[in-house]
Amino acid sequence: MSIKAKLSVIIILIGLMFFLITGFIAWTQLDEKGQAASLDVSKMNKKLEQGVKVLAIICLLILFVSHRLLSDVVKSINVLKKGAETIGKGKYDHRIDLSTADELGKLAVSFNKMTENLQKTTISRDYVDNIVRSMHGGLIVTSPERYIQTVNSSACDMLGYSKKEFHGMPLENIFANESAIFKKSFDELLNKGFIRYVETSFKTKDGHRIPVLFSASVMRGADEQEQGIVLVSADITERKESELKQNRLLEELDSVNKELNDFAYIVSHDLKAPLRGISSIATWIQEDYKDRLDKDGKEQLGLLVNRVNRLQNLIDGILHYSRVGRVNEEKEEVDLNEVVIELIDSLSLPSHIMISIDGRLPTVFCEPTRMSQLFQNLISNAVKYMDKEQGLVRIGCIEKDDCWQFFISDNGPGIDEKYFKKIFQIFQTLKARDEVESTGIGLAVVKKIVEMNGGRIWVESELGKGSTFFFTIAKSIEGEKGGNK
Amino acid sequence: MNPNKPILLVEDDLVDQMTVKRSLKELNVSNRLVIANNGEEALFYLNDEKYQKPAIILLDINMPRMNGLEFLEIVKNDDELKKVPVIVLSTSKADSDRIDSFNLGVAGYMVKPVDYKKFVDVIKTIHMYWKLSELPE
Repeated sequence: MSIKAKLSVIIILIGLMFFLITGFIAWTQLDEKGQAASLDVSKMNKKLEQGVKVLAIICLLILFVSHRLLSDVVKSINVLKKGAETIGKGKYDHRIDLSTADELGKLAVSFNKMTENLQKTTISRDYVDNIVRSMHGGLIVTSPERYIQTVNSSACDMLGYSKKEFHGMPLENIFANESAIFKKSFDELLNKGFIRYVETSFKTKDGHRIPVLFSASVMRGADEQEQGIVLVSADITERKESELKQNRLLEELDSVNKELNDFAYIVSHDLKAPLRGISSIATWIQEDYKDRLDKDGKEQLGLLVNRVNRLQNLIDGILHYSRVGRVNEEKEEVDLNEVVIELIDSLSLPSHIMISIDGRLPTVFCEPTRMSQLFQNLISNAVKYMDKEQGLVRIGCIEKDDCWQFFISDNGPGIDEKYFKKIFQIFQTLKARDEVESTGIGLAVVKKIVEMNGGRIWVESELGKGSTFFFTIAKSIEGEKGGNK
Repeated sequence: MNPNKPILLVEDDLVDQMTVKRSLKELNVSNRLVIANNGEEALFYLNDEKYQKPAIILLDINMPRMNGLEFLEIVKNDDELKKVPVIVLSTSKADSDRIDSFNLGVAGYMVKPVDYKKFVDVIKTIHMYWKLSELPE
């Protein structure tokens, strides 16, 4: 039953009560005038008494019914009042439990719905707040007039201002750079609607400059009207520092490399100049004093010139070895068939040695001069140490999964297994230098070149029958690791 | 190459000076050899009117006081002197020296061999070429 109906019933009942009371009073008045004489007082009193009783009962009944009707409404209002108070305190999950069918029941339903909406909005607002709070980067949101409106705590931590201090500050104030740069960035921002990863410096509250990387975009409402600018920034002090450190290291490396180059230059010039002097003078003595020198003197002078040449070769060799890996040329696709054939032509081989290439060699991505050097050293060795009447040198290549495996085999003297490692070390030779002139640098250079190309080198040999040198060159870009520029 | 014009050798090493002198003698080159110990001395000679301008200049790179490249820088900016062919005769095999030299307009670049016999060959080659080549008077 609706409250309106309840109130109508109450009003009607109260009206009825007044009507009955008025009627009853009128009836007693009439009775007094008309029948005063005829009726005796006791009879009349009795009648009156009955009428009052009936009237009283009716009145009580009406009051009772009215009270019952209204008490429900009061209860409902109390429930509503309590519910409203609870929700008002922020307990958005509270619901008013009122299932009456009247207006108050409907009000409760509406109220619950409203609370539910409020709860949803609040949850999503909390959610966004949480995101903003948890953001590692500093967030700054401005008004369309470029005054700071909202910031997160990262921005506060980064720049040293409190949220209050930020509020209403012109955005330009946080930029440490000259306003020209600020203007340029913002012109771009306004043109494109966003800018990304701009490196600049922010000015902190205490006047420090901190390097930052920032992105910004223009925030627009549903009506495309500009609502402000959203700017996200990250402090890149650490990155800048490590960049600086890296640059410093690179500079140091450069200078060390330059020093090494200078050193190499000095060694080549200053060590070789006197050598040349010794060599020339020894030769002149040999020529000019030919008649006065005996056999021993001539031999000794010959040895002197020979040692000078050896030292010269050692100096050249060590310079060469140090240059491999330090001075790099551009890598390119190199057809090794061309390289090896050109090389064999240029080596002017003795007639008793034959070199053959098994099948075709591959085209590899490498430094052409280095690769030529590699083959030259291995082929020269095979030729230099050849002890057979018919020297045979075979060059070939087998394709493996991730690399090319090359071999250079000869039918020369062979190498004892115990020297398989030693021969690749610098200055190591197996024959006395007076027997076979050698610096002991060739194979060390070969090993270095192979390793720079992501490969390895080894030898298989049987004394008296010959040796086979194997080396691999990585196929993939991996091989470039060693060849850093 | 005019046999009456001198050859200017700019070289600080005494043995290298002797080597060139000896080689020229061995090759019966009639041109007079003028020796300057460094770039400064060479410029002094070249700028003195009373001396005849050389037919060719043999130039070492590493020298005290004024090195070969510094010398070239001045000579090749001089309208008169830049006509004289300069052949670098150096110990240095360094790319930078070669590039710098040719950028400064040298006529040749020879690396001094350690072996005297080969040194003579180098001088012989230089002499043969410039004996045939026409030069501006």
